[in-house]
Amino acid sequence: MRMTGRTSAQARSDGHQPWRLRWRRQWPNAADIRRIGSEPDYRFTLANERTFLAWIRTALALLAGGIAVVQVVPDFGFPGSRRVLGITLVVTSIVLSATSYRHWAEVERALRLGQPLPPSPFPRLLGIVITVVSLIVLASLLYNSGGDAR
Amino acid sequence: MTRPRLGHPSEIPDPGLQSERTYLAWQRTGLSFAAVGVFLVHESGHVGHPKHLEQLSHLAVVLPGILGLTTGALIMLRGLLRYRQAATAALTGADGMSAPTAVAALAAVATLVAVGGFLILLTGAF
Repeated sequence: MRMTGRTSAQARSDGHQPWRLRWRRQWPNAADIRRIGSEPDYRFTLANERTFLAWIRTALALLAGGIAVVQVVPDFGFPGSRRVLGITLVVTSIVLSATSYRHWAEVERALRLGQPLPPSPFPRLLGIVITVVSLIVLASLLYNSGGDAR
Repeated sequence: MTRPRLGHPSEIPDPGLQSERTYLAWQRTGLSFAAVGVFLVHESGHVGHPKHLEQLSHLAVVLPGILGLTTGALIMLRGLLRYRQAATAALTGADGMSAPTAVAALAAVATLVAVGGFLILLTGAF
């Protein structure tokens, strides 16, 4: 649930905010952020920053993997399997990098207000995507080895 | 009181190694961007049929890779500056380290590079 870690009063008031305020809250600019709460311990700030960088690197790895599977890896599995894999990986990369600032800002906000850190859907999303991609690769390899008697 | 001169990431002023770890995280990210940039430039050479590619559109195909490379270089520079800030914070106990603009810019560039890569994938492979 999105609201986990916040009080029910805040959750209720969020529900009544017009979309522009909600958008501004989810995608705050530097000035918006500096107005929230107080400056957190510099170690927490740096930990949040490193986590953000790690997500960016993950997105870059997915991008490189997605393009490599289409353009570098030789044909394998059923027709179109490389295409499916490549697009899945690259779309995941776009989703991760496009939402990474929003997640960084959510954590920054929680740190500044001394609140529990917000839950993130990304570890689960990434786990599911990598599992699905691995299963497709496995299926393709089995399909291949069944197709010809090597 | 003279403040110690902070030049290089081999000087580690805090026991949690915050400054060093943050420095290395920026360097890794810079290297990742540069590597992806080189890869995209390399792969853009295989894109489509040269007959159908005007010079301009070929430039467009190379752009995401160039963007990645440039960003990689800037990020590694930024890592050094960030190291100095972090080490100063560790020594002085000053807070207020968050850098929303740098984070937002990096997220935006990463998204651009990923979208560019996606377009290369769509135009090149099929």
